[in-house]
Amino acid sequence: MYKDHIKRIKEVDGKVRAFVHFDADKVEERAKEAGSGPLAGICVAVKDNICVKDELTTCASGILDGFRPPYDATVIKKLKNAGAVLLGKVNMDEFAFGSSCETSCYGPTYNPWDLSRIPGGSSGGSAAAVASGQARMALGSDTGGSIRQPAALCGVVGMKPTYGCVSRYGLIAFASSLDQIGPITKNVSDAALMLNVISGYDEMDSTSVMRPETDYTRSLVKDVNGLRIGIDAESFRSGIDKEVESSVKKALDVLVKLGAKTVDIKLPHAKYALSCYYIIAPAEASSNLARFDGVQYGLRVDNGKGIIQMYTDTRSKGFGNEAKRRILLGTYALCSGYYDAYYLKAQRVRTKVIADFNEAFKCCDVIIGPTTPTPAFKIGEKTNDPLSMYLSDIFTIPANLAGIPGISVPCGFTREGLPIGMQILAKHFDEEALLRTAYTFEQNTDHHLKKPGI
Amino acid sequence: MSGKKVDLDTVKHVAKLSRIELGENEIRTFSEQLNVILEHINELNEVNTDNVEPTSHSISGVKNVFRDDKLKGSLPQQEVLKNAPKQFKDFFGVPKIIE
Repeated sequence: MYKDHIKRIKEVDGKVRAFVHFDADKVEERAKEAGSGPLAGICVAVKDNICVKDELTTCASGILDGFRPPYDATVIKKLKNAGAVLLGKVNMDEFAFGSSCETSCYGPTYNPWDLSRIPGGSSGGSAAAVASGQARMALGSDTGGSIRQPAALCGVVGMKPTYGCVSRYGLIAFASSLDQIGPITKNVSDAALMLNVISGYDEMDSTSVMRPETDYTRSLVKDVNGLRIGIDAESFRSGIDKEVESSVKKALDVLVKLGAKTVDIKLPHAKYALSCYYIIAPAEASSNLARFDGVQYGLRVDNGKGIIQMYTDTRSKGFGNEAKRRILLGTYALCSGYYDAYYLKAQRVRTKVIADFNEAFKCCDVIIGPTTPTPAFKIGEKTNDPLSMYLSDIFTIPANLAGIPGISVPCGFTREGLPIGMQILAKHFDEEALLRTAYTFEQNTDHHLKKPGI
Repeated sequence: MSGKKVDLDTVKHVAKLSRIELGENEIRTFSEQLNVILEHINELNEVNTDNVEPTSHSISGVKNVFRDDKLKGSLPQQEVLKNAPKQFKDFFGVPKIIE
């Protein structure tokens, strides 16, 4: 199996550029050493912000140039124990700051469905690798939509589990109260299979939640009879692309024909989620990124002018523009005098976003809407307009603020042939409802079977 | 929070706190961009949050994690130092701090 993937990578990755650290000989070695288990022989690509022992792990940032972690992230340890074969590291926005993979220090990844377009981000390399058949599965991380948005734009399945469901030990932190690792796969069954392996309590992550062991493949049931689907009319307004809208509505019709019922719900504070997120996430990021100072790992720029200047020169050279922008924004929001007005205010609005979801889930089992407002945009289209880039995560961010699970499944294509994704959200730790709905939809449609002509 | 502008001096101040050095052009661009972003974010003022507790952890019922104060194995020193840009004996090497 790994030989086919190596061949495919050599064939198409010159065009897609999903992989940033790949060594065919090492893959062969790993494949020969791989043991048996639920993922025996299955080839997995890993986002470049997840630590793999002795392998380059750089968050697609110049500041982590040359970093080889001395340990495996918990998810990597679990994948290895399950017999998976790691193919290498895939591209991302620098430190996961972005929605297009364009802020990577290695340059962008290209969307396999249309090479002039972005694959989404930040887990763009993961989604592009799976979409173009270079990897059977990939690990991504999702802080504001970084798994679901690229999955939607590349026509694959992307799942953000409940906060605390998968250990983040060994995931290089972006915003600790939001980050979650999850699977990006070709279909829903693979997502369940991968989640079975990577989920579970871990004493190395103090936000990990102790839960009875779950077999997620048991949720792969073709049945939505009586399922209550919450629909927030607001998510079909405010400038969403017409083709995205009609495609998601058609998908809802499919589920209704299969016996599901729709319920109108209101999430009155969801429209504030983006603003809330762009205080909380940069604030936490500015604090997490304080550790990159040229002392323990990665880049050091030392011009012999003392330690403070060494820190400053290292960070000024090592971080890219978007990282600097977010560090500045986050530091500003945490400054004395602004802390109450920004950070604390955002955390209070976050409470209201969560309360909305709690209220909504009293009368529905899942909430469905588009994953993204538009299909994949052109490379370079939004790079000079940070706010318009941030707006592409408008539908995915609320789930991170609330900690609830979400999945994006392919639900159609535009006339130009660009994939469209449907997002399903559920209550905390109700991955069962999420997977069952997604699986039933997938098994009654053929969107997931289409492949890019690359 | 409304009405406040991130002027050039504020960008310089925040950059200094972040240990990032910016050129004049960068300072101007970041000031403009941060103002656009913060103007959008100021919509949070529309939300009444009186008597609303702030949330820093979205899952309810999670308690702080403690462990017994016992020695546990850790990575060997050389493994940890392996990635250091500069080593000094068994330590991370840094520019001289005290004269």
